Amino acid sequence: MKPENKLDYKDWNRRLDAGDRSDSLQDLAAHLQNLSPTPDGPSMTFQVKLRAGLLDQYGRRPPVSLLPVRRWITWGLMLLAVVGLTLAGLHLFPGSVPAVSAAEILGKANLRLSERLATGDVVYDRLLLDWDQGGDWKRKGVIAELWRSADGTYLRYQLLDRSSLLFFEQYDGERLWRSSQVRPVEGREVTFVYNAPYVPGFNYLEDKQLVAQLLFRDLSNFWMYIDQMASADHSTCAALFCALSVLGEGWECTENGCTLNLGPVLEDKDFIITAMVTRQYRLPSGREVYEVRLSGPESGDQFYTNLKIDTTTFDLLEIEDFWHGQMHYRISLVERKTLAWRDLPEGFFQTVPEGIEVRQWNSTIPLGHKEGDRVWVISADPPQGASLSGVITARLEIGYRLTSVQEAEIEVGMSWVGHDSPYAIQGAKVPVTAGEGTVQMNVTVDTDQLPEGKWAVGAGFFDTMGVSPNTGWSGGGAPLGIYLEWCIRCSTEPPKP
Amino acid sequence: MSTSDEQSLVENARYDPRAFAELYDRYVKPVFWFALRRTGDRTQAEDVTSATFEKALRHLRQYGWKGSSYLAWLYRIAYQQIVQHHRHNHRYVSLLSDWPTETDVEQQAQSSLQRQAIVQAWQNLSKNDQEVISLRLFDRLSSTEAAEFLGCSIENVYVRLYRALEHLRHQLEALEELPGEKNS
Repeated sequence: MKPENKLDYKDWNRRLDAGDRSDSLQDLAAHLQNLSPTPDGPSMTFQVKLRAGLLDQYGRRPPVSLLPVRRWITWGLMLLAVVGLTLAGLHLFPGSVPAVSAAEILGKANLRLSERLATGDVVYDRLLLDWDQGGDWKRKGVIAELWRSADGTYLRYQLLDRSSLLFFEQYDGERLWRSSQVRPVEGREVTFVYNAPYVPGFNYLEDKQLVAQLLFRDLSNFWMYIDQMASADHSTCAALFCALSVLGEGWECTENGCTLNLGPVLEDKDFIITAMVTRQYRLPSGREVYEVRLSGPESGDQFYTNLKIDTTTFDLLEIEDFWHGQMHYRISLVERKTLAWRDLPEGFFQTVPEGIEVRQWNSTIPLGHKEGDRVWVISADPPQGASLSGVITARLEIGYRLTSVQEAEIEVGMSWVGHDSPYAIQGAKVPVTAGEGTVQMNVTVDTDQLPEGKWAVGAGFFDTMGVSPNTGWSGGGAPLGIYLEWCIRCSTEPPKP
Repeated sequence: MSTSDEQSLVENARYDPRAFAELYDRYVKPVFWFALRRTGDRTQAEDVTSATFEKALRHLRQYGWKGSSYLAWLYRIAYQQIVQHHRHNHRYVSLLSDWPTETDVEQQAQSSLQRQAIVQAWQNLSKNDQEVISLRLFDRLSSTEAAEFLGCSIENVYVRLYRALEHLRHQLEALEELPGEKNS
């Protein structure tokens, strides 16, 4: 009997796997398998040589050293400075150096942070940001506001420049509200946000990097590395201050400073970071701080991060990141408070700032704000909201800008809205090189093979490993930004924007 | 090998070469067969196998464990290697006719007519149909692993395999109806 629903198909496949040959197709499947016996394996010589070669590579280059190249180029640049930092000592840090160790300060700061985070349901941070990353990436006096739930979920993140909204992102557990600018710190003011359903694993790429990818431009940044790691392992830490929870214990101190091996946490063999108390002084705000300098392995006076920690309360008040000896950015804590849910108006995380228009997504909105890379749909046929059946050939015109790698593929994929069910359209890939441009793609979708309902259609960059250049994401399915929504075999079309 | 055992082995392989060697021993033949079935050439299949494991080693940290199969991930790498190395003259090698089999002469003779018909029908199938049949029946991936490889849902694999076999049967029936093409 021919399957009529997905349970029937499941049962048919299960019976096939169990060796059932009760229908003609199962019999055909068995026949195919009989006609294609397993061939001989590779020669033993080949197997042994390859095995030895791989183990040799493993020994010479531990897996962790094979992280994204950019990061390690940066660490490589840090190589010479570590010796210089050690030898330079007080010459680099004029003034009196407090006797207290960096480990003790970081331990107390971590404890202070934990105590404060334990007091509410939602953590609110108000931060003052200064960038100076060269080119367009210069900005002073930007305010970042972040709301996170106690379990680490970002609920709202917005950037403001005086009265202008530069960036907005919000998540209420079901839907997303986002501004569409790719690099909001360049200065374009947000006038609208788009609203889209949350599709698991599909469009919510930036869950751990909401802050990092805007505040920190490059994955090679030391702080981001720590921040990502901390976010993964310590979900209750708060945004930019995650590092403290990682840097709390395990230090070994000498008169030259303290070292901590993050290797076990990072699943690395050795990842030694160094912390030194460089000075004790008063901030313009009047608060007295210890300045603790953190540098990565093979790091030094070119790449480091300064933490400013209150000498009395041990609150982390400021972070400064230095590249090539120049300040890269500064993040200052203006206000932190913990809130109970009852303190927030009902539906607070479903509202947007006054004067900002909310649009339902449509195909012309260029979504995604990952560094300089972006892909967007210029036009689509069938258009947004179309109801489809049978085999359709869709024509998509896609604009792109690729800056982070020299070559990548733009891949179009689909995902069943409301289900964790991505569908990779075979052959829907176009190779592109770094730069800007448009590509035309004709993709064929056999909707008879897809469950009925709403399907989101999106595109993204992937390298030949199927890894997104920006996120390092890999695996089945494609974590793509959502651009279109089609409805497959729907009796009524979804509302158009 | 249970899912949890494989998960544990992959986790350990990140810092223990013995665990990586065990993964290699376990999967080198399936990866080679996967490549051989798609390239039809043992030398090329060895090249693909080498490149696959070298990339797997380099990207060990990027393999995200989500309950998915490590073998399916290796197949994805191998597939990308095949596409990459045959970018300019890539063809989907027939899984039934091009790669060498070890069946004896008598067995080959007995099945030659059936094989000929199936090969012809196979060549008329869409690439999508060929792919899902190959993964499930020749590479012996489970529906879950095939879904991981194809980037689709398991339910989708269920439906696609059934319909691909239906298409193959229709092709065979069409061949039988042609004069001079009766093979059964």
